[in-house]
Amino acid sequence: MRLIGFLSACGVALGSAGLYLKWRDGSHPHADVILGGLTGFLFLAAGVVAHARKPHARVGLLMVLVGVSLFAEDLQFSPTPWVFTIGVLLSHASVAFSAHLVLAFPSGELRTTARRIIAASAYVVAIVWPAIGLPFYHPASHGLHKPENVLLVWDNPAMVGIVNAGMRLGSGVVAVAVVWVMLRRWTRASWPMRYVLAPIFVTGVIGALATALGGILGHETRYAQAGLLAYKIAFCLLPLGFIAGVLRVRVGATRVDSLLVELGLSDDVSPERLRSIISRSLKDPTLRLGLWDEHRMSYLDGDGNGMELPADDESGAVTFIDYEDRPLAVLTHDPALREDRVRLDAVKAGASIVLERQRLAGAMLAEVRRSRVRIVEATDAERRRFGQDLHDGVQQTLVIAATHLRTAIDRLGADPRTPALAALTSCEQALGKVREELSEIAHGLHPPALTYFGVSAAVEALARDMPIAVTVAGEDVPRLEPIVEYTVYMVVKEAFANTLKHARATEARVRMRHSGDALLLEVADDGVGGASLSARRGLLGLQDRIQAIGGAMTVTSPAGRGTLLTVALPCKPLVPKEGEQAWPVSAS
Amino acid sequence: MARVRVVIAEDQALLRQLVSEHLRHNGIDVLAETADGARLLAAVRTARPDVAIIDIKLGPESDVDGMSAAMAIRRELPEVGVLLLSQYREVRFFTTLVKDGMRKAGYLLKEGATGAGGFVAAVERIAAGGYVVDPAISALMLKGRSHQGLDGLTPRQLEVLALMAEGLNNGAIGARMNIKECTVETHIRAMFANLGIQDVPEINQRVVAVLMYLRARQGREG
Repeated sequence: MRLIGFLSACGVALGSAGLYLKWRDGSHPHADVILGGLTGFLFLAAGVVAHARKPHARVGLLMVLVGVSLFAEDLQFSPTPWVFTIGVLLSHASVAFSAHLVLAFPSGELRTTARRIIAASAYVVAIVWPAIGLPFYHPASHGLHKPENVLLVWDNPAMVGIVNAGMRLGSGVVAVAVVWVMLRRWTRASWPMRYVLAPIFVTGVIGALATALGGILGHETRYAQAGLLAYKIAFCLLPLGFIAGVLRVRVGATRVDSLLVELGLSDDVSPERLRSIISRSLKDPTLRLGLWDEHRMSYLDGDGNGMELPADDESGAVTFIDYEDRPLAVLTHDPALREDRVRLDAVKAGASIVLERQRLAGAMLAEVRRSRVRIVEATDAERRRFGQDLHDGVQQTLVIAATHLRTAIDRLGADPRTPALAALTSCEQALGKVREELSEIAHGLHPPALTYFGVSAAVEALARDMPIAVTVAGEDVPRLEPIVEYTVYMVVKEAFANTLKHARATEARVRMRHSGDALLLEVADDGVGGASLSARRGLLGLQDRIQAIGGAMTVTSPAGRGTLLTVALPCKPLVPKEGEQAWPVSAS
Repeated sequence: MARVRVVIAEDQALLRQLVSEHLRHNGIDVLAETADGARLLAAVRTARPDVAIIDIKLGPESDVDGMSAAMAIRRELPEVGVLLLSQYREVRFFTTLVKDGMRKAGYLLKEGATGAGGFVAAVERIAAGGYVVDPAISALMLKGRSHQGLDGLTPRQLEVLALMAEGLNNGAIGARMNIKECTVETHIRAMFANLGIQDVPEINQRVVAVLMYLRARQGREG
């Protein structure tokens, strides 16, 4: 920063002096003077800005050097001999720095040997070569009213002419080489890179063309003059273009922000949508997004496959998106995007907010799902416990009561005219009725067929209780998790109840298919149809239960054409634990 | 005739007492009473009773469930009869119990079993090699089946069915009829088809067939 500060301070001083000298000299049109001065100051300013953004890149320094060297040319308008001499010596230095800047843009480094050779050649042609001609240069001999050349050794205009011709040729060759390199870079660049290259490329090409024209046709020709003017204007605009580039990044960042606001407002953003939005705002169609997977401890692409990360170097770039040191995602993108740190950081920040939000929402949703399952399980357990209490407690006590009653009746003797006997017999009958009713309730709450033998036996038992013909098709289903088994039981029970209550059906059909990780259940009747989830509260309750365990239910019930209930439940067969009852697993 | 010897496993003390008193009162030897499945198995292994009377669902304190104990006895000591006492109006317990033959097996609902004189008879019938099914259960199994009887059966099939009703398994039926076991199986399949009992799980088919046989015979006698 200190060097840049010093250089730009020199540049400002030099520029002010140069402008004054050029103005006083009066040999140049005022517009030209102003344009030149403006260009120089803009380069200084742009150089400082570029340096502030990327202190480690040399591109800011080069810009300041271009500005300084531009002003240094103006020293040849000084009346002081030694200052004039320096001015003559540096009269083409800006060309070398400009070429270097163009070749090294935007990183500030000359990345290929070809570029290094061309840049070196530019310095030789624009600084070393004129220095060779300087000892032979006597302005008076060229009809110029200039101060003395303090380095004059031998006044020889012919020698100066040869040196100048050589320099024109050399600069022409260098310019052509620069144009060639730039064209090649442009054609090979990715779009993000072109985005970065555009301003310098356009001016660079115009400048190089103008220099080439001048070099080949001679500076005095009309075309060369026109080219030179175009170049001067373009060159003046180059630092402006650069500053515009900086501003455009800001504008881009704002657009990124607004995109993220849009993302943040919609609850569900698919990875592909996020990818395409990031890709669009970074103008990199090759961009890939990988989302961090906690369980697999790796980044997964849109298809859920582990993502290979390229090396973070010249040919590829990897940007990690974290939130408070927790990995969220990774971007692989065009290396050129590194030049656009501000934009990349904005996208990173925005994406991390969206992804963290999604992660939290996902965690919350998972917890809600788990708690839904827990609620259903708790309800089932409660029913089971209640049913079991009725079976094992109340009913058995009733059995004992009935047994005592029987004994009492037996001991009273067989005379049916005994008044107490009639009462006790009625009592026994009532007790029997209570037991039967209780048994039915207990059975519904805790169907032993389901608990001991699984869904096939339970469905069979339900079918047996139906007053209409019921066909149960499909092989025996293996034992499943209790929550799934109970759900199947509830579905069939509810479907049968609906069939009896509403369908006026003559027959019903149940079909179960189990395939590894899913159970497909169909309950159909040939009744009047017209059932729907909204119309049958029982079905709605079933739907909640089915969804809680990750299943799905459809009701097809066209009027007059029966009702078909289809339920799919995710489930795995239960492997009986060591030592657990193995007898009821399968009936076959 | 020698006195019938039984062991009892029932977790409800009151009921267990009632049953054992009732049996003793009617001339049956009760060798052991327990509330625990593991103790029951130990008692059966040492005492080799004629019948083990088992509550299908022993309490949570019991390590071995009543049904599991019953199946272990069937597997290990087929000569010991098993009578399940159950509160469940459910057919699969019985069909599971007799999946290897209907000899020496029974399933009675508690509500109908105790107290009545039928209970002692049931125990004696099992001890003698027969089987007992609670009328409520056989009603469940035969529900919806016509009373067409056994008219559609060939004499051979009828013979197989009669032996099956005696509680014999396929091997024993073959030995008695002097035919190969696979021939017995062929007869049985054809018999099931003729009786129209192919719509129930395989395990239930034999039981249903026997129950139909029983009903038809009772119909003739009555």
